[in-house]
Amino acid sequence: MYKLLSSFSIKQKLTMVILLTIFAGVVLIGMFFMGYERIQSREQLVHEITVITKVSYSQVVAALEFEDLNTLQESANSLDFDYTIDVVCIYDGAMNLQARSFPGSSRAIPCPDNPHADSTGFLQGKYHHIEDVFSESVRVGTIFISANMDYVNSQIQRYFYMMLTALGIISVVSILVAMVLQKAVTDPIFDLASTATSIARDRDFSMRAEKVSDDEIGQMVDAFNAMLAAIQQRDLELLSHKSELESKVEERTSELKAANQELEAFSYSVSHDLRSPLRAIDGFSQALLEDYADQLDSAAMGYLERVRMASQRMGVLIDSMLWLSRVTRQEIVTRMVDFSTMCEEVVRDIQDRDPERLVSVAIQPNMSLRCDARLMRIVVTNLVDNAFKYTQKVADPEISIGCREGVYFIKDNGAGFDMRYVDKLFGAFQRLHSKEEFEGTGIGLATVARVVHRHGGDIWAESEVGVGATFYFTVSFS
Amino acid sequence: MKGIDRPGQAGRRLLWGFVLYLGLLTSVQGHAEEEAQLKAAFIYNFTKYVTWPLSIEQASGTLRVCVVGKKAYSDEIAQLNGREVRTFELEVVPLSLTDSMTACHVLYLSGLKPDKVLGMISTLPILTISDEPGFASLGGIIGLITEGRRIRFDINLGRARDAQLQISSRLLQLARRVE
Repeated sequence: MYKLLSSFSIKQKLTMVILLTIFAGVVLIGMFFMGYERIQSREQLVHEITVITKVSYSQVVAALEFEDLNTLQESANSLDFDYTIDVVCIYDGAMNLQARSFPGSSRAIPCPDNPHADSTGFLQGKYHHIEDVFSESVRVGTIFISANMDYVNSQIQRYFYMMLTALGIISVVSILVAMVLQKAVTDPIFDLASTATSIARDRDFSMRAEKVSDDEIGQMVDAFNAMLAAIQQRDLELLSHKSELESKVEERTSELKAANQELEAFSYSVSHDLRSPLRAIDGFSQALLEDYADQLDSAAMGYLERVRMASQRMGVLIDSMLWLSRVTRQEIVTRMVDFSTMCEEVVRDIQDRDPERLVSVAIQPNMSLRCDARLMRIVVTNLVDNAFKYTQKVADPEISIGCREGVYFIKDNGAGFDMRYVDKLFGAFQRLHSKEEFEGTGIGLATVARVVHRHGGDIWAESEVGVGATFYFTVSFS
Repeated sequence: MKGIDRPGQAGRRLLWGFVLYLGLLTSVQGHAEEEAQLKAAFIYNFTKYVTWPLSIEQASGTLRVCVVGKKAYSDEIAQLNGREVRTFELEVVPLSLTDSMTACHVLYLSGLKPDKVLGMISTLPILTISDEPGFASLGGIIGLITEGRRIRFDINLGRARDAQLQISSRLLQLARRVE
């Protein structure tokens, strides 16, 4: 019931409530009047029959006393005064039927054998009036009248139809009245609903619902407008915050850009400009070693050797820094690359550097991805190089390269690293192992990470000290 | 009761005859009795619908029903004696023609010519009733007529007025003829 109601509009609900209330009222009144009419008609019927019986009573008495059948018949006929009466029977003192009215219709019913005055009353839709006739306190006969309820029923039927008509008229009138009156209730709600709908649609929080009444709907309109004002205020604040933030971001970005350019220019010039003094140190150390070897003792010679080695390592560092800055600046040109073949080439190059070492390398075949081939080669070279480097001290070095669900990995069974320092792994000049343990510049993984990030991907590593390390990376271009 | 004694003397051989005879007798006997009973009832009922002059009505007491004539005083009429009607008590008195009839209120004549009696009581307030044919035309007030098993009556309204008797319209309505 309530579920059904919920799909109607307020207007329909109001109309229905009004109609149902009026219907219930009319039906109740109708039923009341029908019941009253039923009682009334019955009483009237009883009264009429009683009166007409009293009127012909003395005639019937005389006719019975003198056994005048014609007069009895007349009396019976006169008692049968209208269609309400089914039959009139007159009995003598010995309960022999003496006269019977002939209404001449199918309504006529046979006279009962021994009507008793006590059975006067309504019985199965009929009214039986039985009156004993007395003369000088002696019962000389009995009058039996059977009346039908046709009139009573037709009266009730008429009331029923009247009620139906009234219901019809009242429905029409009340719908008209309801249409006019309910506007006072529904219009403010409609206004509110349409305002709310258009606000929800247009996101224009500057709109306001119009308040037309001081009732609960008026309160609702006030609350709604207050809510709108609050939302608008919050929007304004958000907007000002946003523009503030944007200008801040712009400021910071330009600052960052300037700083970056400075840094790049600095690192470039450092690496570039540092090279010639370095070359001078190395060159003149070599010249000293070669030209003044007979004047120098072995300790001086050793020191000079060390100077040369240090300057050479510094050269490598500078080269790496140049690499890194180049990787950062270089434009990315992507295409489909046969990754398996690339890995095989890199592994071969690295193995050729130290042909004596035996490392078992497994490369998953048919891997391909979209990337910048030159930069990706740097990634693979660095990672494979690391894998070779950190498996130096393992009896059976094993390296595997593959791809699982878009994640590429390079796994070795080398020295591994402590997962506590995993954050430092991809930072420039960060080393987890000493130079004496494993040589390196601390630039390689920083370069790798930068390339992967420039490919829109991610890089991470898992390791256990003494068991091995696995490097994972993704590339978003594929 | 007489009918039962007689066939008893007729003997067994006449059993069939006895049965028939019995049937016939009882029938005739029954009819006669019924008629007498009806007449008595009629006489009683007439008194309900007739109003005597004020002096008699107010005196109340007894309403004297005089019965004159051969066989007129039957058992059935005698049984009316002492019965009450309206404010009266009936007193049935068998009279002969020579008796004075001035004290009567109802006079029932049967089995005799009514002329002489009627002449004697012409204007007295006496309700005259008789089963003589044409009694009402002859100057009587109510004449009983036997029609088959029914009894009807004629009323001579003029004579009733002369006798200062008021007859209820109910009774007049039931009369076969009102003169």
